[in-house]
Amino acid sequence: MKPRTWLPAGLLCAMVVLCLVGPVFLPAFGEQDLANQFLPPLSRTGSGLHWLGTDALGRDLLSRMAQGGRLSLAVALVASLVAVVVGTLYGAVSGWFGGRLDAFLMRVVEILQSLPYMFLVIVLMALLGRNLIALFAALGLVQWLSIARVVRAQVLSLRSRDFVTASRSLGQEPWRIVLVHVLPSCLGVISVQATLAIPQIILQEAFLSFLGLNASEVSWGLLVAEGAQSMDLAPWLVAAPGVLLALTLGSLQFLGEAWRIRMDPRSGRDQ
Amino acid sequence: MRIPGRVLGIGLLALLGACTPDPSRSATVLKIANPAEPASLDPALVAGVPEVRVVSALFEGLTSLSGDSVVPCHARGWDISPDGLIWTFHLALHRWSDGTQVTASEYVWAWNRATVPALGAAYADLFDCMLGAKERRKDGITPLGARAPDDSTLVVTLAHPVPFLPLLLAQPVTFPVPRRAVERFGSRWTRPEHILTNGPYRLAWWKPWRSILAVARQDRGEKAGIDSLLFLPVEDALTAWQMSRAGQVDWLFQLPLSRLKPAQARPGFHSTPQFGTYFFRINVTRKPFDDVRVRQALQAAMPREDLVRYVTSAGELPARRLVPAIGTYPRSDSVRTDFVTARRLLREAGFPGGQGFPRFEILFNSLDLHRRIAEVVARTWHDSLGLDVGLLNYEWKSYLEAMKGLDYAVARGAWVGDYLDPQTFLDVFRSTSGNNRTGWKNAGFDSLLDLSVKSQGQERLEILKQAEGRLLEDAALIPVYFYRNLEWRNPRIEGIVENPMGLYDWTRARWRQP
Amino acid sequence: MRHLISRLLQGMATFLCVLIASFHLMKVAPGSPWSAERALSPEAMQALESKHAMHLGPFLERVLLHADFGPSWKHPDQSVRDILFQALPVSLELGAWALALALLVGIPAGLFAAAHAGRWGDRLSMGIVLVGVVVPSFVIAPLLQEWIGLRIGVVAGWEGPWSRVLPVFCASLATTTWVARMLRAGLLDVLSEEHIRTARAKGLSESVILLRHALPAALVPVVQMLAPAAAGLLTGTLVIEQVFQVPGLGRHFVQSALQRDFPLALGTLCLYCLLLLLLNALADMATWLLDVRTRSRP
Repeated sequence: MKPRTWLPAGLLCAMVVLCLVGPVFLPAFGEQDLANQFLPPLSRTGSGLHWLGTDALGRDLLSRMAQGGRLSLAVALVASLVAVVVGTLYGAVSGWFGGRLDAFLMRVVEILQSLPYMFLVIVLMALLGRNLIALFAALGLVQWLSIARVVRAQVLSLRSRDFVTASRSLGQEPWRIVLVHVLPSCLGVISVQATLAIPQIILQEAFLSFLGLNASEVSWGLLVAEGAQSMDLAPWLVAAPGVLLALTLGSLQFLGEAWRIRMDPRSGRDQ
Repeated sequence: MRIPGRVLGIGLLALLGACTPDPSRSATVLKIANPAEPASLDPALVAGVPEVRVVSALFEGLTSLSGDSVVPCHARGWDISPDGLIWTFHLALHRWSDGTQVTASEYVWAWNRATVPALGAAYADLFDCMLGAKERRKDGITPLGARAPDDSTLVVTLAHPVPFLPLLLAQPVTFPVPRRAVERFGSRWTRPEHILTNGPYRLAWWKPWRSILAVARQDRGEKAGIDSLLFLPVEDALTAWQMSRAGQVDWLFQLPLSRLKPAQARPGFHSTPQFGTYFFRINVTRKPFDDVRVRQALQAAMPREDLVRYVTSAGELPARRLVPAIGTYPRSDSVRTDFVTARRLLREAGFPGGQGFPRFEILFNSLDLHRRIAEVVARTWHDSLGLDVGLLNYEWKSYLEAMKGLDYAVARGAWVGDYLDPQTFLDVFRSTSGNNRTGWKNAGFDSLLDLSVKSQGQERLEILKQAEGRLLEDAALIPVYFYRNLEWRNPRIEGIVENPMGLYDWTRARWRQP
Repeated sequence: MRHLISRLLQGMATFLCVLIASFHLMKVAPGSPWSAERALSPEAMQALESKHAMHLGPFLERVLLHADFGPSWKHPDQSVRDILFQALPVSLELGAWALALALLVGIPAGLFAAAHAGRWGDRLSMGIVLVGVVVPSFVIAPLLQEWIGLRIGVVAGWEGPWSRVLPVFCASLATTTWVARMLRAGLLDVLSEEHIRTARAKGLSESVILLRHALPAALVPVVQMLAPAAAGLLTGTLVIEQVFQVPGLGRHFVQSALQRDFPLALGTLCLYCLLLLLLNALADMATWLLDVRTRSRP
């Protein structure tokens, strides 16, 4: 494997490991220490070394990031996975069959896109309660829509191309053609959509916690939002989770790229 | 791509349109950062401080506040009947901005309008001391105990004596409104083209979410010290602060927590006690909070000192009672932070070391400060009492709904006095009050409040103190700290008299001559 | 022509569905528009609720026939129409500038990155545009105020040309990233196809291949993605409007929901929905024009 693949993969694994076991060995996990608020990175207190400093309530930032990563990564991966799968299938069906079905399916997407999101979330909370399921639903609800539109447009333009017509005349079943010939050509666009959706979902989650979904769990989005409040007092509070977010996104993009190259049957060039 | 070209064209046109003279650049205009766009400029519909700031420049009532004392304004003076029930106000000659006289009958009409349920005036309950007001607020028909024998005499009949009536009459909800304009234009009467004002300023423009310009009226005897007030709705505290540094704003009423240190060092920073208290409500109808010992334990284990020192950190005082220091009202200070007592009380209630105590959540509305405070409180209760405490963050309307339906365990709350008297705090916790929201009903407390209106002076305050003592002893609420007014204003502004409600008489402000 | 009419009819049906669905959504949302820290008396609550009761039939009639939403509930002195018509030009201007900037930066960046795919130029340009999605606007906006706003003397507000600089830049960031990345991915997808190889074999220069042969097809996903993004930009963003004190539409989307100000919420919704439908239709038309091959479809 090339460094382009294992470097981001290793980074992501490291992050997951940190989130899973970090809370066990990091100092003073979740512990408040008001006398030691806003300590800069690499400060040492009675409870140990604070690699990334402490926040407004004297909590170790690295521990909080490790804890927050659990929710953020889970939410981002699940929500974007669901969004990609649903969006791709929906878009492919709509684009492949075209005509009336296409028009109908796209109007449904437009209706969902136009619904007032804030009210949707508020009502969702009332119906499902304030729990993780409602959170996943609220996040996944919107992300798949633009993916569906993009995939549908791609499929629409691909289905009249030579290689597709050729497979058709060979009598291949439609779902096989879509799966084997058409979708791989959309992979690049889909992987970009998916990877760009992840940081959006993570930050969106902070906004939803403002609305009252997820009140008690710490997350990266919440850390960035909180850190922004004391940006000039303690810049590391927003910088550290921000960099982590950037690293996650960068790694995912590199992986997405590598994956695309591997999966694309027509890709002769190694980019 | 064709789009950029077209877009560029639109943009250029818009840019040309934007190059109009800008009053926010003028040095003689006082630019005030208001924390929100006023919901309404109708004095009767005033709901909060952002509205009061603008309305108090445009309108005035029978009395006004000067610092923390009340002075005659439109009323030259008043006579009180021996039983304290009939007040006769003698009005000075004041004019609307169209030159017509402000008459006593306009007060009567305005007050009757403000107390009709369908208007939805938030402060309509301030009229409750007047004869017929409580009935009128229910049925909308019973006339209010106020009449105007002639244009300059106003006779008010009260249901019970209220020594602080002049304080109430400085409230916007009691200001007169121009009957002709209201009847003609309905809810749009406050638009600049329709409005008539009786205060020191007139409304020059109201550009929603941009600015409100109030210009001093030239037709009044005593002219305001500053010609124009420009109210800018600046929602973000950090933005307001940066605007003040860039010279875009002369006066701001909210300082970002993270800029407190540099703000305190800057000339023009002012920090004064506010007539408001931050507290937690306890839902006394929910088990195990129905046990007074549990509530007292939570009250004693509230880390007030830590919170004001490390979290709010702007010189706030920890609250050991509900009512902030005011006049000669005796301070009870009966609430103590005492973890040993708290543990003992919890043990007595049957939860030694927090064992068997069900998990509960602290409810707060979305704000960074509320979250931090709730986090510290939850941690402290966990560490000192062994309780399992979570956080519950709702947006504003859901938060209000949950409190109204008593669907919470412990909830963050606050009260800022409507007028400078302890009564405004204690009335909140009457068993019939819609603001109570704790489920706490105490007949003794109610009857003490009823008793207080029958007495005068210090004796009345002593009775109120007794009532407050009962409320705190029953621990339906946990006082945390007293608010402060934090503001920055251009050091060139002078003549300001500070006021614990954060409201100012704009006419006194003037620019210092260089 | 027939296609256009059918599209128009579909759009109207969609709009109606959105309106009806949102109307019911708002009705079931918990919390009262009239609740406040200082509670109104139960009688006043009741009086207000019956005074402002909304029924679907009369509501649709007023909205569809007269474009009248009545007064705002939170801001009773103003009609929803006034609020919207004052905020719309501001949002359109801000959004148009931001969109233009996003395209002006995003398209060259995407082209550049695709031309240098896999090399340092690619990584660098993609790394820079990454900032747009990773750094949220509530972080970048205060920084810009501190670094630039204080220098030019305009931190916030919407008076004079200088006040446009920071909000436009901030609003364009995320869209720039999307445009650049989608374009790059689209180009790479297209560049590996047969007809490009043919063109290469013919000895055409790389830039001609990129601009003449690959770009039109690669713009398809960009244009599709751009429609909702543009609708979002043109109707404003809350954070940017709050931080830079821009009197646009974005705050009404959020505040009207938080305040349960249904007339205002429905008004903003209608604007957004119409704009989205229009832009989606435009995007589909652009896709059709860009991709010549779809014309040959049965």
